[in-house]
Amino acid sequence: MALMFTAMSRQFKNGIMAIIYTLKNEIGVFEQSLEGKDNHTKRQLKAKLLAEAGLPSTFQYKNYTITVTDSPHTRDSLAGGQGEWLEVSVEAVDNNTNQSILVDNPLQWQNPYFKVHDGTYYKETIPVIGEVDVKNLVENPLEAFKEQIGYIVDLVARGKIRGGQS
Amino acid sequence: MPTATFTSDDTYDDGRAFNDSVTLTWAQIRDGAGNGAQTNVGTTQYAFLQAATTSNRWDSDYRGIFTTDSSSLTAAANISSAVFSFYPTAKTNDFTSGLSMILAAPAATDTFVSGDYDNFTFTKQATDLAISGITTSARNEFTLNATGLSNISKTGASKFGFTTSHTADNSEPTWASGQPDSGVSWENRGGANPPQLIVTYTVGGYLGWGYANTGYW
Repeated sequence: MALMFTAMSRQFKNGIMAIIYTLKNEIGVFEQSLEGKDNHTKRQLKAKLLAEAGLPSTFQYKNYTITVTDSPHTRDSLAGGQGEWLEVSVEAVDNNTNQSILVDNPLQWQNPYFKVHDGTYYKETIPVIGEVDVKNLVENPLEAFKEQIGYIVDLVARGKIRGGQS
Repeated sequence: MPTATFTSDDTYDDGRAFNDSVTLTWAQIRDGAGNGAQTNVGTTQYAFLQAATTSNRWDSDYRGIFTTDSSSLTAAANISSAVFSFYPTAKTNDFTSGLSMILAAPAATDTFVSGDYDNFTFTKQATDLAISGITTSARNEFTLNATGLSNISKTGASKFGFTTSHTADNSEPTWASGQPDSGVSWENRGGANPPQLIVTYTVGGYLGWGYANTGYW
């Protein structure tokens, strides 16, 4: 069983990567508000949180410029479940080649994550393998949303999923 | 053509079933019953094989489980491509193994039990990833093959499993002393980079939930 110890962060200090351990973060206010709610409600609240996170019309992810063409919103699914889905449409350009990345829009998430790495780490011990660094997370729906959009763009750019079928 | 991302949650969870700290023959550990399981266990080994201290016996075989509610696709969906994305944190590769994506059939999707260990089907859902080629601290992807695409449920829970290629292929590694092992650990649904099943699809004559070519989107 993995056990939690203290944590660390990686920071460049005098040109040397320094590692600083901290305790595992406490859960945030939004996550606390999800406690005791059923899964459908959790999905609704997560979708709403990210849809209202203030996604800018254009942003950078890795070497891509991503432009939002249809604002983020929540929607129902064909199978039911009111407002359970987060949805957005985007266009993307590879800054290195100036080529468009043909993303299959709309992009949809049923249970989007809303936390991102805060730069610090804590340690867990995995049997046999030993200690591993685990990222401390902080609630940041805007950055989490950008990350999830950017990852889809990156997947298409790397040819991992079919793109340009819209 | 929409791109939908599915993850695990409280009801459709992720975890692992295993044999741990045993001394079994290859046939026993590969095809026999398990002795434990964990649900939503955090960052840990979701595929792992380790030799026992006794010659030609095996100590541990861990098999990962990923379930997600993909019912919102509906029976009308036509899935064109999919990847399973995960974020490895550590790996060992004493047996020069691959990581295989297979099928899981846990008795329940919210709590895994040791009985789930012998409910995997070792049919490959994607080309194996060589453990030597897996990058830690980055997302890695299985690209699902036709069998994998057909096993994405459009009306219920999708259930996939993970194991070493030795277990999937029923290919016993050469035993050696010192308890060598092969395996991969990754972040689970509670991590910064939770496992995701990402699917591109169409629905009948429509594109996703909007009419095709209407500019609805």
